[in-house]
Amino acid sequence: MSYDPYAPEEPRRPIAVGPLVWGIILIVVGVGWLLSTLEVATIPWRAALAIVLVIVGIAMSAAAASGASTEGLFGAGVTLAIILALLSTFASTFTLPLAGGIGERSLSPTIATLESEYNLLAGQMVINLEQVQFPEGETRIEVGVTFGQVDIVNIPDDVAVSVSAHVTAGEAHLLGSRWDGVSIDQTKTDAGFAEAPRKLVIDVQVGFGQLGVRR
Amino acid sequence: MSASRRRGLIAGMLFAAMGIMFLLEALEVYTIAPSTLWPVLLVVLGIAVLAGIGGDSEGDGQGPVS
Repeated sequence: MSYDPYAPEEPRRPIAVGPLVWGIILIVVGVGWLLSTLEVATIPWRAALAIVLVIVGIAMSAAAASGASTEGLFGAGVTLAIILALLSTFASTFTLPLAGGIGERSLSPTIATLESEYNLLAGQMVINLEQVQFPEGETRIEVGVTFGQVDIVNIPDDVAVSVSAHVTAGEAHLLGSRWDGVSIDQTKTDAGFAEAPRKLVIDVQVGFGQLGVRR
Repeated sequence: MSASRRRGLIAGMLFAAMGIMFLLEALEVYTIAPSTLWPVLLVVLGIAVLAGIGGDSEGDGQGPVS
């Protein structure tokens, strides 16, 4: 076909913003998930979804203002708003720790690598404290698992422990005592905790699943 | 500005506002009680639905935007 310089230009097709935004969202969520799985970064999913809703809203406004297609964005906005409202209600009703990645974690920290907070969205986490040489004074650890199992094991004998646990539904084993059911709120403290030179305070929240804390 | 563009614009701004509200709540800047959240969400989504009716099909002089 020969080139005709006098042929009328074909009208530009408006950019379909819906597929463009959805493509970007899928890539961002995939990268976030991957980073979370590889433990490179912890993604706060509720905040991330809220940012996606803001992006959808801005893209929809921009598309409408420029005359481009907003197909797919309206449904996406409604769906995201309902999901976020459900997550918000769920979090405020059950006080679920909605953070962390997904999968299995087997952690054996030392005092240098011990973190103050461990979170897992779904899966199994074992925190082995065998190698931790706790300093004098109080050391605090916060642990949150939304769905799954967490075990804090091999707590050294020279450390006095106080564990506060909340399990929305499931089972809790704390230093030899066991509870099951819904809305488990228990605190277990070693005798002589107040006078002990080395203290470990553990605050654990489990959504649905099992919790174990033992020496 | 045509009616369909205006409606898309309003619905988009409402979604952006809701996103900011949920973001601040997720960052624990404030908390929303579920008893307040759901009625507000229904009202806002209702406005967005009304604003979005015909958003892609009403004539704005440029043909269908879908």
